[in-house]
Amino acid sequence: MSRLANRWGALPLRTLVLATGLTLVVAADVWLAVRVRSLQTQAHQRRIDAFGTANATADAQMAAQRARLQSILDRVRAEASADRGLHLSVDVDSGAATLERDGLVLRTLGVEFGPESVVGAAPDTQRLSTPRGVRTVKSVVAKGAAFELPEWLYRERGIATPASRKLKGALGLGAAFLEDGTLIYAQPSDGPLADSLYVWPGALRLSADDLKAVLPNLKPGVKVYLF
Amino acid sequence: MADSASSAWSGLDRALAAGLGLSLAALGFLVYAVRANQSDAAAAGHQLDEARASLQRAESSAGIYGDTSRAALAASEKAVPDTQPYIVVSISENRLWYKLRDSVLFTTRVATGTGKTLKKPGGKEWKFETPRGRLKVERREVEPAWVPPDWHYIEMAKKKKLRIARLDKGQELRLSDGSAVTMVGNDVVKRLANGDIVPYAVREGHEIIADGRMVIPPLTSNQRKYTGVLGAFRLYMGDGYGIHGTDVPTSIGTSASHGCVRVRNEDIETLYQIVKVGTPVFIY
Repeated sequence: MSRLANRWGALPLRTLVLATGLTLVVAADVWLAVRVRSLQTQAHQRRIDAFGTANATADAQMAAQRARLQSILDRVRAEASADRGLHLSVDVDSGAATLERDGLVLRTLGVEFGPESVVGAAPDTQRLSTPRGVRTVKSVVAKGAAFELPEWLYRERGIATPASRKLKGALGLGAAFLEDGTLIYAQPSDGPLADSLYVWPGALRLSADDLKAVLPNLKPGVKVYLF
Repeated sequence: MADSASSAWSGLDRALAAGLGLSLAALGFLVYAVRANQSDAAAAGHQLDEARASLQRAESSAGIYGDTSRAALAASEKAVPDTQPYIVVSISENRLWYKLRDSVLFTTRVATGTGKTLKKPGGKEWKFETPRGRLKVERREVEPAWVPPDWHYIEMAKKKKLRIARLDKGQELRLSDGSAVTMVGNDVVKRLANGDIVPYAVREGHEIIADGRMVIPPLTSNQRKYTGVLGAFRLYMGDGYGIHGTDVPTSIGTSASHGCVRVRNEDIETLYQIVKVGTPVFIY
């Protein structure tokens, strides 16, 4: 001990001050370096967490969007169930429709939906797709009545457009048009629509038996719920 | 010498001083680095907080929409209780279903209205259609008698190319042979010239014909009640419409009636047993 004390005591004061200062500064450096590393780790971890949360948020937003759409469809479905009058309820996803009254099913119908399609020639194009929501029957075409088929239908079918597009029985057993132009029909036996593989874009195609049964009930003003 | 030696920097002092200088420089850099990383960590924390808040909002809106859907669906109540059976008639298919919820308890073929028309004497017309809509079983009848409406006589007169003569209560239709058609009690009778009274016996297709005229008997008369035509039972739905049996079983499955729903006699017997008064009837 005395030798050590003697040794320290032998050092000049300046050296001691410099050594002490250096020790303190190096200690501070080490502490700061550890702090920097810790802050870097913390920021990195927070970014990883934020990224994960952002992913979860995106999923939740999509879920909310789906829930919102589902909620709208459920409200339409609920409106249909609460409607005591005669109406048609169409479950677009399951391809089934029901003729209902007073919350009771009078008839179940199978429905084929026409694909979504942009029809017509530019700039007069129109996007046709299966609607969702509440619609009403606007007009009815009687069985065998003359009906003018649109020009785009011939073009889409690859059939030469005749001089007169007004054909008797073009819509076969008859049809109903909703207020937004959506067509409810069955496959006619003749004309451009007489093809089991072709469904009018955005339209609802029923079997002949189903159409025969429900068409007399689809008077203008009758509601059609699509969900 | 000693002072000059002590004031001179030793090699150790110079090394310490250089180390101190470097350490101080490192200290400055590290202080800056700490500050920079602190603000970076704070920004990352803020970003994380925002992400968490967005997640909460998104989850909460998904939940709200889910709740809205459930509430909307729960709010839609059925107008007819689930325990109430009901009858459905399809005019286009000439078929009847007796249902409870989605289950079919009984189904059979029927005959519904022809949809044909007949001109009324006043210029209007009858249309022989089964009415679409909601009716209900108002009463259940055993051995129902058919009281033919006026159109029946007009239709028969048209078929037989006869004129029509309506007989009202207390009225007399004088005939060319001196006799007369009149009412005695509830019977339509023929009073002969010698005063004798002969009641008319009628059945469907054999109505009272006098002097080339088809006589329409008063509504309350016995001659305006046909038995056996409607089968053994009838479920009366009001406005003259009913679900009943028939004496023309071959008509079942076709559009043959004047608006009523005809079923086979054995089917009306079954329906009479299972259908209660008040049962809704949906015709489409």
